[in-house]
Amino acid sequence: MNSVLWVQFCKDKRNPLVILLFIAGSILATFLFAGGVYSPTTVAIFSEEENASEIETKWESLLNVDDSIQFEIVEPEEARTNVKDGNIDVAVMLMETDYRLVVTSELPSVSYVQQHVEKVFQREAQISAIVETQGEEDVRSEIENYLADAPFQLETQGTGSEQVPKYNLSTQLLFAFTFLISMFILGLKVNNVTNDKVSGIWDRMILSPMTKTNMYCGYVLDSFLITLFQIVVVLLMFKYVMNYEVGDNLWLVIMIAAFFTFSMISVAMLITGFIRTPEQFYAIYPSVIPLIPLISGAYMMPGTITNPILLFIADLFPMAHAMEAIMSVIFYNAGLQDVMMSLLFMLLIGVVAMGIGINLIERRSK
Amino acid sequence: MRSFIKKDLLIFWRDRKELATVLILPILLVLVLNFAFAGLFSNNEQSSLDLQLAVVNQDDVAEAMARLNEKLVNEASLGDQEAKALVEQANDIHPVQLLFDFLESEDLNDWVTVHKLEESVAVDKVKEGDLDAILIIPDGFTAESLYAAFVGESPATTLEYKLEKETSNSSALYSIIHGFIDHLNYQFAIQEIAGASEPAVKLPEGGFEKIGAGETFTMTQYFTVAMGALFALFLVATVATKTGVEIREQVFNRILLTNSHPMHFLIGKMVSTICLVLLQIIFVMIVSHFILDVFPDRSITFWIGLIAMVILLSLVLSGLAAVFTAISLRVNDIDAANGIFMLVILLFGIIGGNFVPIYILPNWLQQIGEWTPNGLFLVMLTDWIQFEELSSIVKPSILLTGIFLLFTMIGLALFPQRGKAK
Repeated sequence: MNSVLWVQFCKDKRNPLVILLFIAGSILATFLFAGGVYSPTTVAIFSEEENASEIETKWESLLNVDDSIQFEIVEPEEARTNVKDGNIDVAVMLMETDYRLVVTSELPSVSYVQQHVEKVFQREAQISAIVETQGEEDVRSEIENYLADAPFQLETQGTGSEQVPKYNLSTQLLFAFTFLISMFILGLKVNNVTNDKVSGIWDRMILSPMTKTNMYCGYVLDSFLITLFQIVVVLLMFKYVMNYEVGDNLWLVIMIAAFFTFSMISVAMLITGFIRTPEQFYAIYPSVIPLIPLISGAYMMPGTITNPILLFIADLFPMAHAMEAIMSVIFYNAGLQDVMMSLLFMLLIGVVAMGIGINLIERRSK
Repeated sequence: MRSFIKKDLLIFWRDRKELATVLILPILLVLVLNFAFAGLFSNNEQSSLDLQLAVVNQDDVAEAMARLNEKLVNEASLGDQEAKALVEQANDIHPVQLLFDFLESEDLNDWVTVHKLEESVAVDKVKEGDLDAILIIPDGFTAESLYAAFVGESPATTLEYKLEKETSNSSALYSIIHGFIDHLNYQFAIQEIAGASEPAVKLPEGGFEKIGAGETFTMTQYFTVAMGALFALFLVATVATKTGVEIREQVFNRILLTNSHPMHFLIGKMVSTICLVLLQIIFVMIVSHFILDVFPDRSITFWIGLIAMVILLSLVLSGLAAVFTAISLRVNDIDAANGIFMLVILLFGIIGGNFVPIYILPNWLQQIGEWTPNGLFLVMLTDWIQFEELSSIVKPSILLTGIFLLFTMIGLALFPQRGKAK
């Protein structure tokens, strides 16, 4: 076993470029994507009335109330072309007391913008009506004063405690991308089995006194260690260098990652069981892998996917369980006891997939 | 040269399992994505939102007015008369009832189900995951809030929104309730300031101005095009890895013995890439069209344009295959090369917007993404699907041709001279 492990390490030592590139890629990808979530949507506003600039400045300050949507004044022509080309989803044409949303298609962001714009315009209509009837000028600040001490209040709490369960999509994406890349790395490593088979090394190992179990253990362990190394490096990097929120219980997170890695190696081994040459693996594996985080809902808020068939398919892969366990550890302070179920599921998937996979590989070689 | 093309196509034909994967998986993906995002991103009537809210009402509305009166007299030290007048006024306002009316209104009925429960039962159900969240109306809420409204102080009680985990459902419920409370407060503020006179409000009309040819670009179309392009990219990596097979199985050495011109080898790879990419994308588009009706009622011009663009993409990708093949012949460790090809394809796929929802990407990266062949193809097809205007696709077409020439030049430049291949 040690010799198999060692020979694989030596291959990487001689040619560390790919692994290093993948690790760098996973840090870079996470950094870019996880950071991008909070960039606000930009919505172009313009007016074609006579006193366009006046209207634009008036509504710009009124529309820009929070950070979620950013309204920017642009030329009418530019706004229309941008919407038409699909560079932006929606632009708002302003009139003195009315508006039109300029859109091409029913994108999800449109209704969100519509709600906000509608609210602002309705409120302004009410305010100006009051100003007209009463001749008061200070209505706006009066309303603000009143709302600062609003009579009806709403407060969020957790079910068990006062503390609000916080959730952060950035952190989830961090793990989604780290796991996505780690699935590729472990796939490349597991593919060494087929590689060594076609190059004849496998046959020479069979002739040696080494047992089959030792041979497989060597490959699995090698793949496991390299992948875990990648995950740990990325996590430490994000925790200590970039100060991301990855929870206080890092050991438990790493343990879940370890279970995930083992489980995914088994799935990769299962795929290896279906193919003959390493090239086939390169054709099939990368086409299947991107599916897994998608159906596991790793890119979206939990609860976004509700289709029972999809949920069932997602449960067959370790990623859904790993994400669930890690999210509950990070955001809801779950302990080992709470994530035990997910760990066992991953272990079960791992054992079953590994069993079938190795069986298929062995059958093929006869 | 014909024999080279035949050889490359035969390599794929021999490996029908792989060919089937490349053809069927993207269609599977399009279907899965459609299911996963159906209702989420479309403004359909049949929304898939199913929000379960428990409402725990601990407030006794019947007692509220007496409490309010008491509080007004004792704490705000108002005279009996004054307090009575205010209570009279308050009698018409039942915030709790308003809240229930709102939550059970027809607009919300389709996706919000309200369960009136005891707190302990509700907490259990939320923990089990049967319900999304709990709204608690605490004891004395009506009295305290109305008191606050009349006196202008902060209220002593607040509605409590309790949740077990933050999910898209519990956030949606929160924003619905929060929107209502916000609206209620605003109306109170308006009333307070406007006093008895009710000014006539001229509400904005709002509405949409649709531009473009009226054709909308649907999510299904996006998935179909994106997956087609993504798997075409994978195909390029597959073609490149076949070079490794040929070297290993001594095919390459046998080719050397035939004394064929080295370029024939490269051209064989490129032509087979063109054929396979064409086959693959057209297959994906046509099959998903028949299953999901992706491009309904489109003219023959539209389809011709579509095919022209696919041909352009296949040319560009054949250029990329040439680069990969040339690199494969130059490196010592073909495995490392394959790994790097995979990384390049992943990179293209991600920033071209084929892998992950493009909204995750920062804006500048989205712009870079439009320069990758698959990203450019996506942009071009988006234009074509919406407007069917020849003028709008001329520029990207020229760009794509440019990228094709660039890739081919790089491929030719890197391609080893006779006898230099490793």
